[in-house]
Amino acid sequence: MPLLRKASDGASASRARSPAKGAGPASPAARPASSKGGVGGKVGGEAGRKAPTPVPALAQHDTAPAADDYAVPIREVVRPPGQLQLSAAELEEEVGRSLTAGNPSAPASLVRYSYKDRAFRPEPIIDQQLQHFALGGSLMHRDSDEAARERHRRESSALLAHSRRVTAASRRVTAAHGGGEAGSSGQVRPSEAGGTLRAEASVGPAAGEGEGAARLHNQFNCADRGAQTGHRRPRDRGTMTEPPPTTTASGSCSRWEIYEAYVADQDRQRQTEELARQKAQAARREARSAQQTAAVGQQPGRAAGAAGALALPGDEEQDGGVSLAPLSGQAAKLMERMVQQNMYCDRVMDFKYWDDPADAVKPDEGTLMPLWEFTNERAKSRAVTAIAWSPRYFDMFAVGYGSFDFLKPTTGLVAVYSLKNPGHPEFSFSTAAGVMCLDFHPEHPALLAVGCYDGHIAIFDVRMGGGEPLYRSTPRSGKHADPVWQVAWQRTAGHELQLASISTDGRVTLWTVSRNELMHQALMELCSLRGRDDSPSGSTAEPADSSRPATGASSGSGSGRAAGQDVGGEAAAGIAGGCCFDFNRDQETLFVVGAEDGSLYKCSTAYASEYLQAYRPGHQLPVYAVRWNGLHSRTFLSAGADWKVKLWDSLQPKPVLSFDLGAPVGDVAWAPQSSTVFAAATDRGHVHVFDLAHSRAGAACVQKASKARLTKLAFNSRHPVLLVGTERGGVLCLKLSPNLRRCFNPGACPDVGDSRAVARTDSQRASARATEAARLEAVLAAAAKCNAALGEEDMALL
Amino acid sequence: MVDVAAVEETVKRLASHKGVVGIAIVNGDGVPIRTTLDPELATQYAALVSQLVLKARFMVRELAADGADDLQFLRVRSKRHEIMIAPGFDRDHTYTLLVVQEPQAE
Repeated sequence: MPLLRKASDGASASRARSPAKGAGPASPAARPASSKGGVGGKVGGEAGRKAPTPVPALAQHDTAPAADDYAVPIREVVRPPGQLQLSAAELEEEVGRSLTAGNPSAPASLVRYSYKDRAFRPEPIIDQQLQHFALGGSLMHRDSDEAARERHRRESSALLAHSRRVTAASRRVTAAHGGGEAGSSGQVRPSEAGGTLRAEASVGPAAGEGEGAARLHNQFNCADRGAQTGHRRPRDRGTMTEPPPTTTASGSCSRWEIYEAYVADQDRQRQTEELARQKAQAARREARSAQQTAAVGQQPGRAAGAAGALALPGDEEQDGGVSLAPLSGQAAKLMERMVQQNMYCDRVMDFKYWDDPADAVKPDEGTLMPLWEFTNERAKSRAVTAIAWSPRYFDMFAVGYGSFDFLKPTTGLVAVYSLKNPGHPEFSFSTAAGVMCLDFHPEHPALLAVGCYDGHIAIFDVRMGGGEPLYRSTPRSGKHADPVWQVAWQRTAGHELQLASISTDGRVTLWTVSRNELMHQALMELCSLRGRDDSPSGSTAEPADSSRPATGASSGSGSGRAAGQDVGGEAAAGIAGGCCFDFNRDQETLFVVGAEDGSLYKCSTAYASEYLQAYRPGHQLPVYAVRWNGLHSRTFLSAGADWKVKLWDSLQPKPVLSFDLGAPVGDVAWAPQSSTVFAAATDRGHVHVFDLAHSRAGAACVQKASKARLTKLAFNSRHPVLLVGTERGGVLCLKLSPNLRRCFNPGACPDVGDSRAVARTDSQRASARATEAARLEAVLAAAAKCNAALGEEDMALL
Repeated sequence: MVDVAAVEETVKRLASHKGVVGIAIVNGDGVPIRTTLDPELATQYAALVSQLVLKARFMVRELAADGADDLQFLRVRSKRHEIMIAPGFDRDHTYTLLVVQEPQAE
């Protein structure tokens, strides 16, 4: 009995408690428990509603007749009218009446057909039970099994509530909340009991126990906590594309089908050829008629219109490059030269015929007439580092492009121009590093030797017109460690080709072209003699040269070595970086070297370790160029960054003549037709032309050729023109005015291979050379006389 | 083997030169294949020039004693223009490059 009441109480209590729990701060784990309690409560509630129904029925029965309250109930005997009047005896008589438990509506005798006996048999037992009233209750007997099970359940749920409290305490819930829970824990219990009641009714005791264990597990695991964290919704995005169209092609081909196709194609070709021929004939006919009409003097427009009405056989786009294939490159090249000739008609005329009339008035001065300027789109940002005329074609020359600036290295370019086509180079080659020097082989004019900034030597065949070099030095085969400043082909007796190169790493190397590679051989190791004797200029500090930092970079190490030498006082040499060299025309083993410390050395290929002569102090800054005179085998010129150009007699230790040009001198060159004329190019853009036969004091012509710095200079061997290269990649062609070429002796210079040149006999040439040499000899003698008159101090100034 | 790209480039450069009025490449039949001139004018030029070239070539070859000479270039200077003709005679193709230039173009 108490079980039932408590169950209904628990239902209401759990209902009241569940919202409070839901609003609690953080008890997600309790929520499903409370909701379950709610469900259990509801079930319990239903059970409670069913249970009280008999109680009010009894109460009604008691209270209904109490209309007249406080009155003593009066007993009245009311007899029905038709009642039997019985006597006392009859009344006393006992009438036995028994109540049997039989069902009056049950059949008395029931027979069923028995298949076994194949006859009707009376049913022995007839069910007499009749149920008049049934009431389902929730009460159970105290000693029954059911009650025992319920008791056991309640104990387990009490244990559960206790464990929950312990968990709550461990979670450090507030005391008030904890207390509330503790207070309500007694009420929680029945709700769970109600819930389990029903579960028990449906599932059975084993399932009920299993559920309890599972709940315990859930409480401790806290797996429900994850429900409150926001979780990503899985999203799927997909697109549908149209499947690529597929077609199935199939066919068969037989031999006769192929044959027929070929025949049809042949027919078609024949037809088109015929058509083309007809068209051409028609065009020719039209042209003829047009000519006739023009000749007759009629209006030619109509005929021309008719000719124009003939459609061109192909669009420009359609037969673009293909139609040009048969057109020879020669024709196009020729045409370009002709177009250039027409464009620069006046300059061509100047080149050939123009002489400055002012020369007649001013006999001591000459001028330079600027002719063409050779520019190249690809060479815009690079400096001209080398110019070399072709030994065979007087109008052809090669220009090397690179950079003198250590901080701005560029890739190299060699462009071979012709004077006949200033607009575009005939050939061009590109190299990985900047080109520093060039030389054409005198006997194989197609071979061009190139020295590069990275120390490589390459040999190009000019005729190949681009592409890879024929030969290239490799790091394994003795490549220079520093920029190669000059290369020069050697005249050799046999067929083998040899060239010499000089670099600031102090080596002069002889390269022999073998079948498939360049063989190297050291000609000389340049050693610095600075410090061996203490000449005043030798000990002066070498100022840093900004214009050619490549030399500056290695000169740092060079001067360091030189300083170490001074301390040691030994003759053992540091490396002297070579900047330039030149081989004598007459004595082929003899060459002069200009070093970056300003010294000049006369060397021979025969002696690898010794200088024949050292000219010191040659210059005070790096020597940029040395040139032997082509017609007088003893003299050479040197030019350096110390603004000086010096003329040397190779037998004298001191310079014969010295000229101060007021700016670093990039290059100097003798005129090939005269022994006394030379030109120098300076950093200020001036070209100085000297004629020693007329004036030993100064230049016959100083002219500004360009705003940019001039780097290189080269005379043409046949025409009175010279080329000047600028730092901005331009090459200028300048023509010498008559005053500058008064001493020119065309017979003196070697012939440039040209069929139209007048063939000169050896004796004629020898006599011309002798006169030229005599002229320079006279100049030297006069200068030597002047120098002898000078004092020691004046000599030092030279 | 003639480098087609180089020829193509040269022809393009020719067309870009100052004073060049136009270029035409004429095949052996006197039909302009490519031209920068007006099509009608080019047809006229081509037809007339190809005849002139044939005549000139004939003359040159007749004059040469051994017949080994050949025409290389033909320049026709008029008051206004200069027509430069570079005939290219191959074994089986005869193409002529024709350039019309105004020499005094400023």
